Parts: sequence; C-alpha cells; structure tokens
Amino acid sequence: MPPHPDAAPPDDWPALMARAQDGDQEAYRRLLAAIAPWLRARCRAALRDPAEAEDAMQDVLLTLHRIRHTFDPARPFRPWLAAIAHARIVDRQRVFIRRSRRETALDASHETFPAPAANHDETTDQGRLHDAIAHLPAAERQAVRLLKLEELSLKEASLRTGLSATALKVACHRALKRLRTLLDPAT
Amino acid sequence: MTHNTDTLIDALVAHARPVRRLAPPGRRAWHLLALAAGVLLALVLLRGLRPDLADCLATTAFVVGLLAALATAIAGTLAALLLAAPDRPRSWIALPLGAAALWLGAVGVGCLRAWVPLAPGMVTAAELANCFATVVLAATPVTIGLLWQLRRAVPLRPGLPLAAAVLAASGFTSVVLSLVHSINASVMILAWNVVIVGALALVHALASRLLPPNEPA
Repeated sequence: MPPHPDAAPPDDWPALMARAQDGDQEAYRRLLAAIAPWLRARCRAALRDPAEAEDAMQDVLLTLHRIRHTFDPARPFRPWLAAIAHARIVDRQRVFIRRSRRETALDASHETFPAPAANHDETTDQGRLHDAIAHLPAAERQAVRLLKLEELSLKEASLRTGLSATALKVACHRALKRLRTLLDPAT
Repeated sequence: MTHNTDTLIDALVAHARPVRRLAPPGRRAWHLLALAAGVLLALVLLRGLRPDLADCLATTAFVVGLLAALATAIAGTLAALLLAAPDRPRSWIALPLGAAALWLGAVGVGCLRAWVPLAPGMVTAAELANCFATVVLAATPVTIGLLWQLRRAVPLRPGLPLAAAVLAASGFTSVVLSLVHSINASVMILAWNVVIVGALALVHALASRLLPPNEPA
C-alpha cells in the first residue's frame, strides 16, 4: 500500500508527537498518517483476519489519542507506540479466543437450513406469532419487536425508546410469558 | 489507507487539543513521597511518638523492619509509576519485592517473638481501634495520591501498578505505625491497604464505565 502523501519519516515521529501534544493538528495528522501503515503491518502480522487487524489498528490509534499526554519527548517514540500496539493486539487476541470457545463459525448449510425459503412451513407459525404479538399491550409489543425481532441490544433499544433498560427487560419478560400463553393455551 | 481509518484520523486530529505532559515517574514519585512525609509528620505531631521508641531503635529486628518498610514504600511508589507507563518493562515489579520480603519477614519474626510475651488482655480493643484509626489516617491520603497519579497515567495494564501501589501504601503505613504505636500490626496494614486499593480501583472502574472518558488535561 503506498504511503500517505503527508506521511513523515520515522525520524520525525518523536518531534511530531511532541508538537501534537502542544496542540499542533497538522503535526498530529502527519504523524498518524505515517504510523498507520506501520501499525497495520504489525496488526496484520499478529491477527490473520484483515478486518480484525484494521479494527485493532484503529483501537491503537484511539488509545494513542487517549494517552498521548503520557509520551515523554525525552524518551524514544517507537517503543512507546509498540507497547500500546502490543497491548491492544493482545486484547483482541483474548477476545478472539474467548469468542471462538463459545461460538462456531457458520458454514453454507447452517445458513441454508434456517433460511425462510428452505422452511416454508414456518410461514404459518410466523403468521400466528405476528398475530399474537399484535395482541400484546403496546409497551410489551415494542419491547419484543426491538429486542427479539430487530435484535437490538438493551442499550440501543433504550436509546431508541427513551425507556430504561430495566423497564425494557421487564416488558420483554412479560411479553414472552404472555406470548407463551397465547400460542399454547395448554401451558 | 482504508476510508474508515482516514475518517478516524480526521476525527482524532479535529480533537487534538493541547495536553499537559505527564512528568517523568521519578519526579512524580518524589511528589508522592513528599506527601507521605507530610502525612507522617502530621500524625507524629497529632499522636506523638511511641514511648518505647528509643528502646525499639536499639533492637536490630525493629530497625531492619522499619528500614525495609520504608524501602518498600519508596520502591513501591517508584515501581507503581514506572509500571503505569506503557513503554516500561513489567520487570519493574521486582523493585519493591526484595524490601517487601524483608519487611514481611521481620513482621513474621516479630509475631513469633511476641507470641509468648503477649498475655491475654495486654492488647485492648480500644488500643486496637486506635491503631486501626492510625492505619486509616496514614494510608488513605497516600493511597488516594498514588491512585490519582495512576489515573493520570492511564495504565494499559492496571494490575501490576496497583499491586505495587498496595505495597507502597502498606510499607508507608507500617513506618507510621512503627513510630507511633506499640502494636505490630503489619498484617492488618497489608489487609487494609489491599481492601482500600481494591475498593477505590473498583469505584474507578465502575465510574469509567458509567461516565464518558475524560480528555487528558
């Protein structure tokens, strides 16, 4: 990948960082443009997935920004940057390992079988479910729609509705209970 | 460079306000040790020196324990601040360990020696409460100072700096207590400092989750 036109040579990085600490935005831009390819190479060497590596690199840039006041211009810049990159890459690797322990990658068959086209019979159930949801009280209907059908997180649903996460959780719980009764009156 | 990274760099540059550089760890350690010396002086003035201090200073075990606790406080402070910097090696945690081992060793010897002479009733509840109050008075300002400095340093891996901070605060509190009180309460000191640092770190972690991150000053 060609270097950014504004990119500065490594020898200039400590001075640019010192100027960035003083609020020189142009120096900061040149520095970030210069270190981005260097960081990307490190992240790609450690993380195989290019998208994951790009996310890790952006994490490093965000962390650098947050702790830029900790750089001491009397000390070398590259080890400081490398330490931040290392910490963020290790964090990513930990998350990846944790995730891979409890998740299984989907293959074509996993995606085919749950697809609506492969499950025509579901349409009847879907119709019943949507009818049942339509009969729920407004607050419960909204909670089920956002949290279960649209699969929003509690935080996102809370932001969208203005309701607290607890209120949404309670409404969703009640809705599921009511849906169970509506769909299977025997229970 | 991908479009997203370009956008991120634009956003970071737009928010690049001047920041106050963190002073080198050595200088900040001196500030903290000056604060600790002030607390020590205030407590000595407030509570007075222990009556048997001259006798204690004549015993090797007491002097070794006192000096080792002091060395733990100084080395622990410096180690905590060094470990909080991203580019310093983690091996700095070894700095206070020797002094801490000597100090805790001296505590162990002291406990064994006191086992026989201490008859039931020699240490009263009021005395213990007074001793605990001194521990709290000595440890709290120094711990808050240390955690404040660590907060400014935003350590990427806070575990080791916090462990060094616990040792530093404990060593300092032990020095204060050795000069002010007749009871050897080093184990209580260590336990208290673990609790207070743990609690403050927990409060800080919760606050960091609940509050938006601060821009460095």
